[in-house]
Amino acid sequence: MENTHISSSFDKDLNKLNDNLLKLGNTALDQFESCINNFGTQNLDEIKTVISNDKILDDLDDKVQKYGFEIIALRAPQAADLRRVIVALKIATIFERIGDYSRNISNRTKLLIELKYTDLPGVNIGKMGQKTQTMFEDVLDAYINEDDKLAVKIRNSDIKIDKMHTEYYLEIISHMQRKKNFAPTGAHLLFIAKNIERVADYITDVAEQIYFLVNGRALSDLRPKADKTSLKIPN
Amino acid sequence: MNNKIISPSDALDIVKKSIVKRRSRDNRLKLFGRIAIGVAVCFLLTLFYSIFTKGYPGFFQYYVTLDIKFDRERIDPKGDLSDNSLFDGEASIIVNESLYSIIQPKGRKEKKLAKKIVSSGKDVRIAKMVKNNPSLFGTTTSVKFALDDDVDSFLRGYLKRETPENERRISDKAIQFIDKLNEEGRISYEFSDYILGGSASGNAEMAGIKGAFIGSMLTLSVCLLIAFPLGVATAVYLEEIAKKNRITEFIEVNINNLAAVPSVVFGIMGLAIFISIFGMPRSIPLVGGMVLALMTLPTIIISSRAAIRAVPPSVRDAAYGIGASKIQVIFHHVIPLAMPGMLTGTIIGMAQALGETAPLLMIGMVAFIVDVPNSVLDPGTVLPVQIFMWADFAERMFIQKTSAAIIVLLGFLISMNALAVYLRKKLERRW
Amino acid sequence: MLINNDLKTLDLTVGDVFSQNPRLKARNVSVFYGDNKAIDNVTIDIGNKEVISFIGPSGCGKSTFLRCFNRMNDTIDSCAVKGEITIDDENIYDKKIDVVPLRARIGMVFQKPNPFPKSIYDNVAYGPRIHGLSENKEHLDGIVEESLKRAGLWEEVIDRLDSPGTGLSGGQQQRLCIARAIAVSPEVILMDEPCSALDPIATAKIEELIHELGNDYSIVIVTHSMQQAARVSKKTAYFHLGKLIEVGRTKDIFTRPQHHQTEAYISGKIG
Repeated sequence: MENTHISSSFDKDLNKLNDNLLKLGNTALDQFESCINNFGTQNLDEIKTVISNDKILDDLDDKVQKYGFEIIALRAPQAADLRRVIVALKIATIFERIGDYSRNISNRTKLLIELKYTDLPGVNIGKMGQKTQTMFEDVLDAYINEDDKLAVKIRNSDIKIDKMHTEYYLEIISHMQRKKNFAPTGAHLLFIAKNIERVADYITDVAEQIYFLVNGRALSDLRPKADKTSLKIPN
Repeated sequence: MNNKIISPSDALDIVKKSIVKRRSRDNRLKLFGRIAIGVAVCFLLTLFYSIFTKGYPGFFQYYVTLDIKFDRERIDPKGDLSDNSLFDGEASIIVNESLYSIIQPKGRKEKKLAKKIVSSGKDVRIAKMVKNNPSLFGTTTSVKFALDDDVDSFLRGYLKRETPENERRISDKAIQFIDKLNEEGRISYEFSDYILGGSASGNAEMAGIKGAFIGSMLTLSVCLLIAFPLGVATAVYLEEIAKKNRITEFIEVNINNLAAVPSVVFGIMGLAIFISIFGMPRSIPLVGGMVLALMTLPTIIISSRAAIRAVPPSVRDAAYGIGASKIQVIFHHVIPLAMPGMLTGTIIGMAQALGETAPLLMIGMVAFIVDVPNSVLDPGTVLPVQIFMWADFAERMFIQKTSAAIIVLLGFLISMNALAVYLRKKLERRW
Repeated sequence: MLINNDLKTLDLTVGDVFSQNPRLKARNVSVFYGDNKAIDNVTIDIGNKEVISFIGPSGCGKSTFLRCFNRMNDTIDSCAVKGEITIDDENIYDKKIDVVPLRARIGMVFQKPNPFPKSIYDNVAYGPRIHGLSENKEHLDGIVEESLKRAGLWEEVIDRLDSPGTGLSGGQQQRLCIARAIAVSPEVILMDEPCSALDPIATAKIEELIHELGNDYSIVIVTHSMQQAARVSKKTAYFHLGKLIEVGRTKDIFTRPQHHQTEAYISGKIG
């Protein structure tokens, strides 16, 4: 936020909103990073921490909603200020949902540990997770710097996650078809993979919001989609 | 769409058609206005023309130049230049001798005629000259003397040679003498030193407005000193301090009515109250000023009230809001801002008072006063009254001098009004 | 949210009418213009060093009520004030109270900027002069400079203190009036629609100034612009037809007012 308003308290309010939003985003990123790591390390304590920290995200989201709401009621923001506030409200919700998914992934990881299945075909999930995490880090940068070009790049990279998800899905399905008692584990793995893919989709939503914030119009061309899991029937 | 409303295109047609009528009506109105102004200007020009043509010559007089022997023993027998001594002296005889030497009258009758050619103020003139400049004694100097008013009228051509002698104011012999003086080149037409320097006199050639003018100034000063503070204070009281109730309304109505009362009534009031009851002397500028003050008060009060009302309430609010008391608001803010309007009204009131005759006649400022008044307690007269009195006299020269005095009076009125306009423009504030 | 019928019968003001450590207290104040009741039984506290705005539709009496605090209604003959307004527990309408020093403690800024037709210096110096606040010329110079600085005008007029106050722009004139009010060291500043005669930029500058002044003075501002109240004040009081309907934190009034009339006014359904 470069230019300052004549009313210094308006600037203060906008900064307060922005700071809390970034706190929310960074915390959600930490949560996600943690849950992906924990999938590999299977550290139960860390997993429990992630699950309990989800509350922080809810509180931060409430704060952002409240501040955004107040700014709209009291300041009647216009033009870029209005876009900033609306986008902040939308992104906060998205970060909070991403937090929910991190918690879900952690819950499922807990169950996986209890199922004690060894030799998990989980390499791809790790990769998917890393890639998504990188997207997440990038999108936070794009927001701070209001970098719409980076936002477009992020949006276009979602297709890779989709491809990886489709591959992984086919791999798990075929595994489940060969080994019957793998099914419960496989189901959890599928859900975890789906959650990661959803997180990537959400990050893309955030990128599209950032584009809107900078340019004042929506990112027009259709998002390239490559998630063919709902279309393909495995053999 | 309501069909009572006319459509734009129809409206346009109707307006276009009516524009011709409206334009011609406007032009007729403009024409009438111009004609009216033209008529007024014509009247004004005629008035000024007649005044100036009559009055301009009143500033000039005919003089005769005579060589005077300033013989000390004869002019100032006592040698001390006192009025007594000069009165006993033979100044007029010396002048007459000089005159006789030129026109050479024969016999007593002719000498008597010759004496009358020069104005009877000749000895006064000599006396003034020696008093101012005693070094004149022992010299022979040429001195200009005013000619008698009949001679003056003859020289101007009002008294004609052609009229038979018994119908003329001036005799044939006198005309002869005048011609002789003219041949010698001793008669000259000069700016009169009497009109402005002299006072009331029975002799037209010596008559001047100095006394009346000083009387006017003294009377106006008294009027101003009484009416201005009283008028402003009354206006301030009525506008700012008095509560708005029946009594103040009653006062306001009466003040407005007083402005329309004929001025002679104020004179009667002055006579009854100041002169009869208070026992003040008549005919003095003090009483005249008091009467004029009463007359001018309503004008000053009304214009001052208007000026005070014109001060916007925002200035008062601001002053009250900062904690000024009522008196501070009035004196620091309202009066300074209203002052231009008050001054304008006062000057206009004074200009009216300058031209007032009737009330001053009532209190007796119509006496024939020769001396210039030195204070407000000396008897005096005012310029319009002087004009009024001169208008009674038959001599031709008085007519001219009357017009000249009117010019002086008008000149003052115009400059006072111009001063009012100038002050108003200069002090006008934008707030 | 309280429903119409409840409140009509109760006839009470909703919200936080009272403050801790108030600067001014108004208790059961009613104002009459002749027989016409303009303000009906209003009770409210003006908090210390905070900005409170009075909002409400035209003719609801907010300006009238504001003028009660510095007894400016005294200048109107037909106006009668009942009830009590106290500063430091002294009723300002008591017969013993002299209105002149009161108006130095409680200053006022008016809707249309009204600098005196004097120089900028004399405008600000007038108040201290008549109240005898300065000991000598240097002291007076200091007061003038400090007041102009606090009003955010010093930099712009430093080289033309002798030029007439009426020669400034609208926004500058209003800041001059604020400096004039500050010069007599008031505790409370009353502002009656101070920005309604100004353009948006000048308005924004004055609003920022009010925000700063709120740290040092208790400010009451009457405004017909709800948005201005929202931007400028910590507390807001809503008036309607002479009654005080609701008082509360500005944030709350504009996001979830308690009284249905307040809600209707704020959302533009009435007034």
